[in-house]
Amino acid sequence: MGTAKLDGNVSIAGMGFPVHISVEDEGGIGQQVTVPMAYAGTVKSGGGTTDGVIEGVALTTTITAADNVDVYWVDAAGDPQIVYGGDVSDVTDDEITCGGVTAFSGNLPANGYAVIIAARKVVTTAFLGTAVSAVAAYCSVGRGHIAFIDTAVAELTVDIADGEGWFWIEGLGYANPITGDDIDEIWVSTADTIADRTFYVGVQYDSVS
Amino acid sequence: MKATVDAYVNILGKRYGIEQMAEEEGVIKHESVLNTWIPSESLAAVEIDIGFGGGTESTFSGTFAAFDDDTYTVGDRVTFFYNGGVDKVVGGLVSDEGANFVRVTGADTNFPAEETVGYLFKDTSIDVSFEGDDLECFAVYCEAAATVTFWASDVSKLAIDLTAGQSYFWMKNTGYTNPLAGESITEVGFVMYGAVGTEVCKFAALHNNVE
Repeated sequence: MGTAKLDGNVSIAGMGFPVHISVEDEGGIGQQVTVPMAYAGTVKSGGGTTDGVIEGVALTTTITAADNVDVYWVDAAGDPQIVYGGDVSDVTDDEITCGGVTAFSGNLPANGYAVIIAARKVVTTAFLGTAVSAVAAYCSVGRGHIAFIDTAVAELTVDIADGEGWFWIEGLGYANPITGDDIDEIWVSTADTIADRTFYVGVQYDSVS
Repeated sequence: MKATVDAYVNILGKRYGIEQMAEEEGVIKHESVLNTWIPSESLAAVEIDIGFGGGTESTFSGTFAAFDDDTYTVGDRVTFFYNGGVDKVVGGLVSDEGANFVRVTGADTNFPAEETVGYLFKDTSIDVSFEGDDLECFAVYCEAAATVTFWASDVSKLAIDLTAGQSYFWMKNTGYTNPLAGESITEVGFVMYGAVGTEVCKFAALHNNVE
């Protein structure tokens, strides 16, 4: 029997709110995945649509035509944005053509906008969202993105800030974000442009029928 | 003013943490002792019956009889627990009261059938005024098991069931949608069930209140 624990404190203007939750379940999944570094670029064409060309990408890029990619940027208001899951159909010189066959989850920013393009990793897994009592993720360095997939459909996506984690645990006060979903893949990527990074995913769930 | 969240989940020995800090001009803070129905008597002594109502006399209204406590006054917000505390009717306001009855109207749902035994609690209500869209962070806590309800002009917008000694919180950029977005909150109400005595409840919010 595994135990997942939440411990912490919220402080608002000096007033403290303790947070302590402990839940038990038989099953546990731990993933420690190396995700490839991302590359800075600029939207050359396709701005405002779900496919386009990113230019100005370093010639040393490891992104290839076999990849699916996520595109990160920060909008004019300073808020982080992302579209994910686009396919790569061509990499020529400093240009990556993407989203033409498998479209991105949303529209790319306008042509000329600075972005970061990152190849995603696919983690094969198998658990029922309804059976989950705790789930958490973080990227070792840099902004990260995680998507929980049920039969090629992203049921939950989370944009994780640099240096932060994300979690849900039973008793937190929020509904289970993947209840009813049969999770068979987890997609992860990092927006860090310095080096490959490590993505951690933990799941605790009722694995006994 | 500042708010911080420092929390982590441990799964299979790995820690997944949140360390967030927010800063805004406005703070609302409140800490008080919860209202208890009869703090010096046993729960058995406070059992009440629905004298009439029960969903047949008038929707969302009921009259509670067979008690002699004069705790309630017109305008109090109350919660009726029944079925051993599993079920509850929230949002009612005392519209009339006398030596042996309390009339409650305007609840969010219908009351159960006549003669249903339960417990009528007066909410601890905090008058506030803030826009949900302006929030950076908020948290609620109670020493006892309790329900916290955020009201917008007598309409329930968010109800949270707290276990004893456990906080609920929301903070921007932690991966969860602001549960009070778009709401103009006018009241925060606490009600606990089953505890008798002095129990502390707390509410605090950090918000942008500068035009």
